[in-house]
Amino acid sequence: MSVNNEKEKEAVNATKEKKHYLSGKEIREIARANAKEMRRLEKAKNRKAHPSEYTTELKDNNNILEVEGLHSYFFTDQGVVKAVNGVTFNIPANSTVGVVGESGCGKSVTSMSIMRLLQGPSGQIVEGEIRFKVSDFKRDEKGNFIPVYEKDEDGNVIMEPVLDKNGVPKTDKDGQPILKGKQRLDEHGIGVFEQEETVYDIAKMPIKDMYRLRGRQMAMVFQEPMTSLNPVFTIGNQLDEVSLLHVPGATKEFAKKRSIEMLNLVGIAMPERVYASYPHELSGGMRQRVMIAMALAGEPRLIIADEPTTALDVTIQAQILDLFNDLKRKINSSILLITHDLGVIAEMADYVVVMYAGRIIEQGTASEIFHNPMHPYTQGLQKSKPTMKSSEAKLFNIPGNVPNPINMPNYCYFKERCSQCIGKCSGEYPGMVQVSPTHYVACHLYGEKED
Amino acid sequence: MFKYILKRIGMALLILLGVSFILYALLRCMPMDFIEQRIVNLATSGITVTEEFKQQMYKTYGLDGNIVEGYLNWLGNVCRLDFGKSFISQREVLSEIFNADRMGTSFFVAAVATVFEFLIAIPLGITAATHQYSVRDYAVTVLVIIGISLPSFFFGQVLKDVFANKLGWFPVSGMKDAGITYANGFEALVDYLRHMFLPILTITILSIGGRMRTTRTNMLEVLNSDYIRTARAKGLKEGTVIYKHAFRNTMIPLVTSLAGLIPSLFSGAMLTEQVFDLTGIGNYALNAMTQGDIPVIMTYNMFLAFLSVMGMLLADLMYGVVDPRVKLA
Repeated sequence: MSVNNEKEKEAVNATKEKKHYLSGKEIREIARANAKEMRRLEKAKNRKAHPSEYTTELKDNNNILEVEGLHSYFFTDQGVVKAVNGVTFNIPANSTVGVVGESGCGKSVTSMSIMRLLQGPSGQIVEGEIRFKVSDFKRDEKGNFIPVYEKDEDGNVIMEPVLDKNGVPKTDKDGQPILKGKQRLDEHGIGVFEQEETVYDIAKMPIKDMYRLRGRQMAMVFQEPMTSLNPVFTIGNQLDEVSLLHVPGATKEFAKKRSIEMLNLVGIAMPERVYASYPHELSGGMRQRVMIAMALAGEPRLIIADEPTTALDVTIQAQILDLFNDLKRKINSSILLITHDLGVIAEMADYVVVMYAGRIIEQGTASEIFHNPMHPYTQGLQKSKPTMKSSEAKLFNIPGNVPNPINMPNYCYFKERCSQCIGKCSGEYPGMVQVSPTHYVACHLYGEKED
Repeated sequence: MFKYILKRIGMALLILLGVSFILYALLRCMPMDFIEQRIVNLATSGITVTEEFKQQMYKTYGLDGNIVEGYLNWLGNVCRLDFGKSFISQREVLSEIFNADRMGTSFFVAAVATVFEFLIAIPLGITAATHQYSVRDYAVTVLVIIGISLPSFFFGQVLKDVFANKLGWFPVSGMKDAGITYANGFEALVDYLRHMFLPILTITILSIGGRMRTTRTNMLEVLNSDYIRTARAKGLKEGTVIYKHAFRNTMIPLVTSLAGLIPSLFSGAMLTEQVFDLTGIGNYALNAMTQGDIPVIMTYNMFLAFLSVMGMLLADLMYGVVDPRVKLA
């Protein structure tokens, strides 16, 4: 305990020495540099680009998302906050990846970066790739979707006459009816279009093209169900929007049917009644279910759940987590689960990513992280989890605080709070060390062994 | 709902009763009342005024009793829909105030100015908010602050000098060209609009500022809320996010500002009407005020008080329409 206290004092002294107030000149310089950088990045965000500019390849085709070297910064008047500072991880198909870490470690910013929802102009993705496998509609040269046609036994497209507004077949100059291919309809009577699998680098996509992916290929459940629904529109109105937006040719009746189906799927007992209610008429748990229904309505491949249970009480938490597990099985999508609750991770995740101060410090399968935590920070997190068996009066806590995100040291960010420091820790930031095919850790303790 | 409205109207009557008493008491306490002004005028023109004549005058105008007696007398007449005669012109107050020249002019100027104010200020506020801290935001904000800070008598004079005196595009003042006869109604209308243009421009430019700033602030608050993030996460286009999801929420406070707007449509703009020498109600009421014309001022102010109360009721009802969280009962 006394060792920890001394360390804490040292850490406090160290930050005191570094703390100095910015002069007006410095602030102006920072603001000018920021403005230039933000203008450049905003321009890239609002540019027009042909899909070939951001089409790319996955490194491993079993993944649906690969994040590589992601840097997301916030340009503030005090300096650049490197909220996400070189994050690399993969999400395999049909799996749940959990991201854990303290408040302010960059978990949410990572998820917002994937959705491209960082609040501009100050929040920007500066560097890195986010490769995402999407099944987008195929387009002809004019950029229109290509319909799937009905074919007869010989493989010829079935033709049907083109009708005008009154249902009368249109004719050409010679009085012959104009024919067109008969589009295949799905079970709801909505036309089917050809789709193709492509891989996009989301970090390079213009924002306008992101509209196609958000809600349909990837959807997000936010941590504040109480404020995440628009108070002036009914639940139905807000749910319908997703289907109307992402299913070409969707009618209002189809959207309503689908919305009610989704409400059923998330376990809402009286879907018709909820459909017609306003958000303020529902409880927090109900609202979170609605948020999940909204995320599912587009049948996304990736659901990003940003602390989906933080604002809910424990009994509802369990229900919502079960719901996620069920749904994953039902619709075959992957989940990126962001939380600071290790219990939630243990129950849900196949792979775990531990973040600290904007970087990944350890990643591996859930069992590796829980049974064999290697980084001192991960070990600390495990120890600070309350258990029923423990008879100790005081819960363990990791001393100190996360370092100031504006002036990060160039040694291991955890050094000042770490109880297992060695000489090497004052050197450069440690690289990722592979300890098993799936387990990586960024710590000097293991780097030596590897050498 | 019906019960709620009835209750509110009942409360409105009580409020109006209180307002009318305070107004009457204040008017009776004015240092130079109408009679004293008349007597001073007579005295300066060399006529000696006896105390008896003075008492006679007070009695004629119904100002001989104390404030409460006077008030009850006024209230009794009003209940019989008798609003009295103007002290100055000796004509019926209602026809003095509610005619095309007075209320008509003021209402026309205010209504057109308000429409333009909303049409200009709301889009400006929205672009300023959606492009926060950009050149556009700063430019709009600076221009609008200049608009707010200009006093109407000064800005009106500047416009008059530039557009009427120097450029000669619009008439300097008044309601119509002197001694003119119109060939047809259209010509008369054009001439009327030409006279109204500068006053309307003055009022519009001066009022845009406040409305734009409230729109900008509300919009910014809404744009930073979680449900806007949800709307974006659904894949909605930025235009839909702003004009559907954000604007419906921004409208809620705009609707409450309607309460203040309704009386201002009929109150007239005293200073602007003075500058452009319009016959509007603002100008007329100011004149009545300085001369202590109690029936006119009472009727004019009670009319505005009535509109304020009704405006507030309307705003509350509208609140229930635009915000589903508000239930009126």
